Order: sequence, then C-alpha cells, then structure tokens
Amino acid sequence: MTLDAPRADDAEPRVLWRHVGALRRRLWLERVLGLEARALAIGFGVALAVAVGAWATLTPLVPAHYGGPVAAAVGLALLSSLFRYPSPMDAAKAADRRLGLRERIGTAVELAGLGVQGSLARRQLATAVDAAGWARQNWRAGPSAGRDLAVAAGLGLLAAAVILVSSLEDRLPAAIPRPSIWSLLPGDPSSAERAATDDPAGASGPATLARAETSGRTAAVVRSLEDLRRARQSGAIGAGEAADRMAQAESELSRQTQDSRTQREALDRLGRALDQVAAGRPAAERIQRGEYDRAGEEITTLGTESDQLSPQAKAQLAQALRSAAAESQAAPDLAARERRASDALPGRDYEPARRAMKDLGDEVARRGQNVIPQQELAQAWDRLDEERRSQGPGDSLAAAQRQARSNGSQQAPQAPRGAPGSQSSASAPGSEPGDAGPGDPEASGPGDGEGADPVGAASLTPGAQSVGEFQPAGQARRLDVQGRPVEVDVQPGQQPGQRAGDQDPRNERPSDQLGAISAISGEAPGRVSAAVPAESNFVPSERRQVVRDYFSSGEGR
Amino acid sequence: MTSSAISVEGLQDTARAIEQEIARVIVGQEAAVRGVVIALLAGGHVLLEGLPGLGKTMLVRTLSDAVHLHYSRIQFTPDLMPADVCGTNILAEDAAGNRHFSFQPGPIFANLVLADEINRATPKTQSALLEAMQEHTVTVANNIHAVPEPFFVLATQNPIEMEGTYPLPEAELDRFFFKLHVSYPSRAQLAEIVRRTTGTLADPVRRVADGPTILEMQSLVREVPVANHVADYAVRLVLATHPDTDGAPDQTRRFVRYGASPRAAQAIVLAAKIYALFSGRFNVAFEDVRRVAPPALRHRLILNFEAEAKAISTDAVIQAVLKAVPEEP
Repeated sequence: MTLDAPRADDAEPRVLWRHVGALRRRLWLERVLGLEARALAIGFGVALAVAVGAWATLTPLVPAHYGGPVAAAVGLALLSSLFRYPSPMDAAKAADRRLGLRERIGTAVELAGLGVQGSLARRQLATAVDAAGWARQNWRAGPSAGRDLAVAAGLGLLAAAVILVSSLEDRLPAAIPRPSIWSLLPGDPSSAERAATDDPAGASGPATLARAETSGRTAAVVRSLEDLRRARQSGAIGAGEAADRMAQAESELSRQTQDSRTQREALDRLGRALDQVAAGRPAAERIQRGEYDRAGEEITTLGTESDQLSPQAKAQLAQALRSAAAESQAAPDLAARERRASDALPGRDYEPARRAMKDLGDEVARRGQNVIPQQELAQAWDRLDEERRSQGPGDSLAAAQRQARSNGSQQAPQAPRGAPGSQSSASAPGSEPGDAGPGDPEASGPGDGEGADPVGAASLTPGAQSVGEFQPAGQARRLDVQGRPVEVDVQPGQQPGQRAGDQDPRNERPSDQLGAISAISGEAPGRVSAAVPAESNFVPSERRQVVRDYFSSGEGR
Repeated sequence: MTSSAISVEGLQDTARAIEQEIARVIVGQEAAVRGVVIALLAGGHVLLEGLPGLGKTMLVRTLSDAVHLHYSRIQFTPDLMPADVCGTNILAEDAAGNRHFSFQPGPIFANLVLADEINRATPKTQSALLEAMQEHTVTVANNIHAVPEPFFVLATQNPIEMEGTYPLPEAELDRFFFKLHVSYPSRAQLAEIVRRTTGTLADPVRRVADGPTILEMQSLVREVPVANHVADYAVRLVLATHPDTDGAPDQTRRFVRYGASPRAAQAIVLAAKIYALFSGRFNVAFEDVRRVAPPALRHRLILNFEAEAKAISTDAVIQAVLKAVPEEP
C-alpha cells in the first residue's frame, strides 16, 4: 500500500507527517551509516585478503590494491543508499519497534494516509502524534548499527595491521616466514627457480623448498639499502655519506656471508664424512640439499638405529666423523660433538652412541639455522650492486670484490654447480688467454658476460647456465667461455677442480683473505691481481670426477 | 462507519465494573473473567473448560447478574433433544376453540445462555446450537426465530469424566470465540473462597450494564483501528497453524492435523481490539494479538494421533507458532 500525504484537513495528520518525516530522515541516515559500515567491512575484508595474498606471494603491495576495494565498496553503498530512502511506514514501524510504541505511529500513518474516520481513529491519531514527537526526541539507533561499526572497525584494524606488516616486513629484525606452499605460486618469480635449483630431480619435494625461503637475516642490510636509496633520491644525504653507508652495508653483508659460509662449510664437511658410509648417506644428502633440520633428524635416527649397524659400519662411520671433526676447527662445538659421536659409536653401549648422535643431529639442526639461504644472499648482494650502480659508475675493483663475495656465498652444497663459478674455476688453471677474452670491466659477473646479474637468480639456476649445462661423466665438453668473464680460485688444489681447503685445513681462510684472480685476461693464478676478490666456488664431491674427466681429456686445456 | 453512543472511557469503565462485580463472587480466575468479558463485547461465545467446582457456572450466573441480561441455563444430558434447546411447535387452542400450532421458544431464547456440560449431550443436540450461535436465529418448522440480542452462549465442559460424553464437533467448536481454561485456585484464593462462601451472605451483585449498553460496546470496539501489518501478523499466525502451509513451524507440521479456520483470524483481531482498549490504547499492537491468540486458537486446532500419543497440547503448538512467526515478515 502506498501512503501519501494525509487527506484530512486536520492539523494532527500534518503534524504527524512532519514528525514522521523527521523520523524518515534519521532512519535514512542510519541506513546510510549501516550500509557504509557494512561496505567498509567488506572492503576491509577484501583489503585484508589482498594484503595477506600479497604478503604470502611476495607481491609488492601498492595502495591501490587495498584502497581500491574499500573505495569501491563505500561508493557502491553510497549509491545504493540513495535509492533506499525509507517510506513513512518504514519509519513508523522502526520507531514503534525501537521505542516500544506498540504500533501507535504505524497505525496512525496508515490512518492518516487513508483518511481518518471515526472517533477512535481520531483519538488514535492524537496519541500517535504525541508518540511521534516523543520518538523524534528519543530516537534510538538500531541494534545492528553498533555491531556493523564494530565489525568494520575490527576488520579495518586487522587489514591495517597486515598491510603495515607487509610494508614493513623487510624492516623487521626477522621476517615472518611464509608458508612454503606460497613459494610455489605462479606469482612468485623465484619459486620455480628455487625449486629447480634445490632439487633438479624434483625428488625432495616441499622440504627442499623450505630451504629456499628467506631467513630474513639480510633484511637489515636490504632495509638500509632501501633507506639509502630513498635518502639519496630525496637528496637528504650527500655522496660522501652515501658512500659511507654503502660501505657499512657491504661490510655487514660480507660479514653475514662469511658467517653463513663458515657454518655451511662445517656442515658440508660433516656431510662428506657421512657420505662415505652407506648408513649416513640419507643425512649426507639432506645436508647437501641444505635441509639441515631433516639432516639432524636423519643423524638422530642413525644414532637410534646404530645398534643395527655392523661393527665395520660403525667403525667406518666413527672414522669419518673423526675426520670431519679434525677438519672442523672453525666450528668447535660441532667438532666436539662429532668427536664424541665417533668415540661412542664403536663402543658396546647403545645409549651413549644414541645420545651422542642425537646431540650431533641437534647441533646440525641448530647450526643449519644460521645458514643464510643462497637466494637471500644473492638477492642482498644484487641489491647492493644495484644501489652501487645507481650511485654512479663504480670501479671494477669494487664490483669484482662484490662479485667474489657473492659467489663465495653461493657455494650451496646441493647446487648443481655447472653454474659459472665452477666452470670458471675449472677452466682457469689451464685456460688460454684467448679463451676468456677481456670483457667489459663492469660486466664482471660470472654469468653470460652481460654483467648485469652477477649473483642473481641467473647464476643460481640451471636454466641460467648459459656457459654450459652440467654434463655427466664421460660427456664433458669444452666450456664455451671464450670472450666471457670467468673467475677461478686463487689457490687451487693440487689437482684441477680440487679445492685447496679439501686437502689442508690450514688453507681454510675467510674469503676476503683469499687471494683472488680473474680469468678475464686469462692470467695464471700467480699473476692475478690481488685486488680481485677471492672466488671460492668449489666442485661438489659428487661431480668432481666430471671435472677431472673434463680436464684429463684435454678439452679443458 | 457509525459512531457509538458510548464513549471509550464509558466502555472501559463498564468493562472494569463488570470485572469487579464478577470478582466479588469469583475469586481469582482473572484471565478467564477477562476472556469472558472480551468475548461478550466481541459478540462471541465462550467455551469454559475446567474441573467441577471451580466456579464455571457461578461465573456465568454472576455475569448475567452484572450485565442484567436474560439468563437461561441448559443442563446438557444425553437424553436432551434439540427441541428441548430450541423450542418446538405445540398445538394450542384459542378462545374460539380453534387449534393451531404455536411456537414454544426453548431456553436458547435468552441473552445469556449457559450450556452446562455441553459435551454430555448427543451431537444431534449439540448441533442444535449451531444456527443460533452463528446466525443468532433458530429455525423450527421452516419458521426462523431470532434470538434476543445480545446473544451470548457460555458452554462449560469437564475435561475429565469423559465416559458418556460426546466431544464437540469441529463445526461447533469453531463457533466459540474463545476457549478458556478455568484453573484450580491457589491456596490464598481457596482460603478466600472458603471465607466468602461460609460467612455471612455478601451483598448481591450490582447491575453495571444492560443489553443496550452491551450492544453499544460491541459496536464501539469494532471501531478500534488495526494497522495492516498487525492484521497481517494475525493472519500469518493462523496460517502457521496449518501443517501444509509454507513456513509452518515444525511443531505444526508434526502434530497438527487441521489448522485454525478464518474465524480464528477474525476472533484474534476482534479480541485484540478489545484488549487494546482495555489497555488504554486506540490501536491494536502485536502484543495484543499475541495475548489473545491462545484462547482464540486452542479449540480450533485439531491435533493428530502423534500429538495425542505424546500428550502434546494445543497450547504447546500455539506457543511454538507464536515463537516461530515474526512480527514483520
């Protein structure tokens, strides 16, 4: 039924209409607010989802991503509210319901619209006018208004928090680890690369991906670089200060890289020791893959099942651990546990052996937590280089130093290092000057010679092995590095492809103390400028034979 | 729409006076008394149900005294015939010696008829009331005789001692405006009953109204406006008692065989109007509808065997319906 203005000429219906008109406006405003609150709740909810998605998929979050849904929802709600102006009966019913007026106003509105007839109807109208006037003074918002506002506020706060965390993530002491499943999303550009790099055969599954996640330890450096870039762009700092801050960041990153490398090398030695015994190979493989938690579990399991090992296997394993302990001077805790395990294993008592192996496993897991993933280090160095390039033309020496450090950080034990670093080390000793021509000094990276991504993903992934894919034994071919920059160890081992530190623990030195050479000009190791930072890539144990075959075949010369 | 001579205040005062006069005799039973007065003003009939000795008959007699109406009592028994209720033609002889049939009105020709223990008469006799209750006329030998106005039937029935009784047919039940329960008095009320009935005789009931006043009141209450959405609520309540209706509550679907008739909706709205007036309002509220729904619906719902087996009462179903049906659809 449509109710129009009162037909009667009486004043009361008109007064009633005036009161009801005020009630309609209030109800409409309330509806607008309610709609807006719900729209805000929906918008905030969408923004929250977007922020979480962006955070999980490493997608940069711009204000339009979260502001857009909120603005759209609010706009739609406003538009919708324009068409929802309440009718007089709606307002009357709302007033009756909220204020307990027992349908006085609703009945009167109906009577006024239809024309008042009868004494009782007139009296009802009179009481309704009073009630409507009272309702104007005592209007009470609906019960859902507060709830909607609370929901909207809650969602808004939550969304703001997530957006804040997303934007400040790299400024936090330790980034919040993302679930590993997110690293497989198409939106993550490095996921496929990481997966392929960590597990070319695809056999290790999600556990491999877990190691590819960022540890967040380089976040402070990256953040300082970001700050530096912003400050430089805004002109807040001068060139000198920028250079100082750049040097600080580089120093810190070098330190982190070296620490991580020390940890990883100690674990690698243990992995090689375990690899010599059949029972220890699962743990060795885990270490090679960088899955230190799983490696620790494998070692613990090995200790638990040590009573199943033959005396010969125990002795062999003990010997291997002893050898590893002898080499792990830089990691005394690990060496001590290795030694204890090697002492306990050959014994008759099961419990000490199990406990010693468990301690060793725990130490491996603990130490593994201090290893910064290759991708993260590479990205940090990449960031550093970008920043340095953006500051202006840098000297090749500094670039070479950075390159050497970053390459040193990439010595992942599991990586199929057919990547440039290993190729260069292989080719350097016998390389002819013409094989590796002088490239662009700026393009000192080990990649394809373009030099734009010295330590980036291209140098970490099989797909980026532009110089030459890894070939199994017997299929080695000549490295196609002519005219491209490569780097080699300054102190190669006694044999080609053999790392110096593998033979003599005394050779174990930080990378920045290692002399470095560059094969850019095909110089022999002794003639390499000492200003070039060290290249500390090495050939993984399982691939050394490939390299030996390569050189022994004469192709490498 | 015609205006009544009596004012709203006069109606309220008269109704209040009737209740007060009844309360001088009947202790407690306020709800039953209020229901009887509402039915009287609505022009409906009341079925009073209660155990023997609770004052059902006394209530009716007191009411007749208070409103000064012609009162007639019919004691329903199994051998009661329709003619005993409605009257019959008898052979009469005039002064000239001519014989002719003359209509001898039965006890139903009264303003206020008490059908005591109505369920003890046969359905044939019970049905004799149908025309009078609905049409306010009695047809005997093709002659239609109007009953006096106001015409008000109050029937009583005993919920126990069901042996030798005849449950009222649905058509008969539907003609009752309200079905009211007369409950057992509380301790204090019982003490008061004892005090009143064993002491000195109290003053007789005052006459506070008469037939014309009642008719004016009946006319006035119909002027109370009811908003469409409130009337719609009453309609939805009635519809919700039908098991085959969409949106009927689960209790209805499970336990009701036949729902309430349209007379139920009429009774609810009319009774709600009167209740609103008694409450000092000039319009019907949802609350009024809810208040009068149980007495208007309880005798109009026919429960199924499952409900009887589980001792589900119509009142329980009505409460479920009231809970399930929202005020605004």
